[in-house]
This record gives sequence, C-alpha cells and structure tokens, in this order.
Amino acid sequence: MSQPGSSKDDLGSALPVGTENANPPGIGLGALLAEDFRTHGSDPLSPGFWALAIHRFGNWRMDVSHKLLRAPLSILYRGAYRGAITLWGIDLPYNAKIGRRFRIAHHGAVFIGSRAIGDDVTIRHSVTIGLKRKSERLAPIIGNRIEIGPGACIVGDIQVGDDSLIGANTVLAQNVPPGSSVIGVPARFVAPEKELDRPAGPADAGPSASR
Amino acid sequence: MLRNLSTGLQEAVAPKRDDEENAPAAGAAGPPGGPVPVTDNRPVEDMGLRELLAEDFGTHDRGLLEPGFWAVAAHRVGRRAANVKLRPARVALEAAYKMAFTGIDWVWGIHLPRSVDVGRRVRLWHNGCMLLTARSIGNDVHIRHDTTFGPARGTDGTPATLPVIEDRADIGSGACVLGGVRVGHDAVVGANTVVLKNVPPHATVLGVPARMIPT
Repeated sequence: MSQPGSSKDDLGSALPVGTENANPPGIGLGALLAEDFRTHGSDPLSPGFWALAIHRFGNWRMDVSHKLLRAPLSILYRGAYRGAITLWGIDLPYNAKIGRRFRIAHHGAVFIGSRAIGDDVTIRHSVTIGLKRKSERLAPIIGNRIEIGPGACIVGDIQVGDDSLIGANTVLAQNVPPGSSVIGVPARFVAPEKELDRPAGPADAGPSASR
Repeated sequence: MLRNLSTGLQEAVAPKRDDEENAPAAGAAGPPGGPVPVTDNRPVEDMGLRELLAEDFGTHDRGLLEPGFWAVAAHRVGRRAANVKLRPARVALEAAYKMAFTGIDWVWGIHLPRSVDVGRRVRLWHNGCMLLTARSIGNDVHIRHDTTFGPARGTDGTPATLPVIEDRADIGSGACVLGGVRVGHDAVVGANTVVLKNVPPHATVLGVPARMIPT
C-alpha cells in the first residue's frame, strides 16, 4: 500500500490503509476464528476472542469487492467494533495487521495501533501499542512469539524482535533485538529468564497469618 | 459483638480517625503512624452473609453504583453458593453467581475469582479493569483501578505461584504484583509499580520493577 496519508491528526493514517484483507494468508475465516477460539481457552465469554473475531471479520469483509454488497457488512463491523470499545475497552482497528494465534488475555482496556503483529503474540489488559506522538506517523512492528505484560506501552517507529518479553507496566520506545526481555519506565534490558520469569523466592508460609 | 447491624457498620467503617485517637489507650502494638485496625476482625467464614455484605457496602461508601461493591458482593455470594445444602437453591445461586461474575468482568473488568481468599473491608476503588487472581487478600486492603495480581510468566497459576496481600496493604492504581510473593501488612505499593519480590511489612515500594523507598 502507499505511504500513509498526510492529513494531520489522523491516527488512522499511521496504520496500513486497510483497503484489503490483512488476515493471515492461507487460512479461511472459519478456520481462523476456530483457531482464535482455541487460543482464547475455548471460552465463549472471553472478551479478547470476540474483539479479535470482530477484527478478523472486518478484514474479511474487504474481500467482498462489490461496494454495495460490502456496505451492510461494513455497518455490522463498525457497530461491533464500537460495541467492543464501549463494553470492554478493546480498540482493535481492522487495519492493524495481526498474525495467527494472537491472544488478548484478561479483560480489555487495550489499544492496538500497530503496523503489524506476528504470530503467537500474547497481550494482557491495559496494553497500548501505538504512536509515540501525535505528529509521528509510524507505529510499532511486533514480531512473533512475544509476551506483553499488563499495562505495557509500546510506542513509536520501533521493531520488537521475535521471542521477546515485555514486562508489566513497561514503556517501550526503542528497538528490541530478538530474544530480549525488557522492563521499566523507560524500558531497560534485563537478563532473559531471570528477573521476569522468576519471582524472588517462594512465598514463605500459608495464607495470611494475621487473619 | 452484640451490636446491632447498622451501628456496627458505622463503627466499623466511618470514623477511622477516632480509632486512631483511641488506639494508644488500647495499648495495641499498632504500627507507628499507620491506620489502626478496627477491632472486629472475625474471619469472613464466621460471619453471616448479610452482615458481611452490609459491611462491604459501608466500606464502599454505601454507593450502590460502586463497581467494587458489586464485585466483592458477587465474590462473597459465590464463596457460599457451593455450600448451600438444598440442591435447587444451590444450582440457582451458582447460575446467578456465574452471570454476575461474567457481567462484572465484562462491564467493569473486575476479575475477582472466588478461589481468592478475600478478607474483610476490602475496598476496590474506581472503575475496574482489575485482575485480582491472588492467593489471599487480607483485611482492610485498598486496591485501585488497573491493578493486576497474578502468576508470573511461565508459572502454572497454582496457589503457590500467586501473590499474598496481607492486611491493610495499600495498592496504587496500575500496580502489578506478580508471582508467589508476599506484600507485607501495612505496606504501600505505589502507582504503576511492578512487584516481583516480597515486600516487607510497613514498606513503601515504587517503580518498575519495584524499589524500596524510605518513608
């Protein structure tokens, strides 16, 4: 697609233009939704699954080339998209490209404005992926097999390498090489599998003693 | 403890300052400067459901529109639903609990499973988006919006991998307490702090990851 438009203050222009189906190639909508359903623990009450399903549907509808046929689908999509924002706070525009087995764990409050997200990415609640500043035009590119902790902000024209781990409440505005772990405000690199994976020492005793 | 319900409620909830003034006379080993616990600390299990809900209602400023109150109330009912002897009543109660749990999770995003051992007068502030999968939450704990309690990455979510929040801990908004750690009694966890290690009693921690700061 062509470069994002030059209109000011148009957040949408940071994303791909969204004139074509950006769902993962080589898999039909039904199979894709079934896979997403399994990814979300086969839980029909999972907000993440429904938000992602709306996203997939929004992309799928772009395959309907006839405008008149597409119009009712677009109305349905927009209604569902607004509904997901209002009910769960999950803002997942269809033109943010998302790979397979993407998982939104927990309740929403999520904004995903990335240019691309790879496969097997898990995000949690209160995650923001988007522009660094209003004046900037480019959003992050997220690789494969990445875990993003709750409350993390990933902003700006950056790339997050495969198999990385982004800790809770981290504010990340720099490139991350594959296999790294970052945590902090602003993000610092830590030894992988050390600080984040393992809580320091098991809890000492049983339940709260002073109860 | 023969107080009538409504007066007991007001005593238990409203005048913390009075309690603080009275505390030296009682000679309790109260924390210096910290809030003094209210005397009635019977375990939740020993209380009647109605008494408990009335207390929670008072804790949440008697606000019928407080999401925190409804989340805690659903939790209290859910804890007891499984113990109801009469089968039809139990089935109905379980169904009602599940509906309420999902509704609260969807509308406000407060996820407080009934496996969590929640103490008395726990206050959930503001509008939701909390994931509170702790092992236990003590008495008089205050929790603000966007808080996360849960297992650290790569652990299986069994009780030993979940955090324990002790009595009177104060959790700031956006804080994350992850893994089988213990937040000590009267500790303060600052806003957006990520706790991955034990927090000693009366400590104040802040930052990502959490650092102790002098009080």
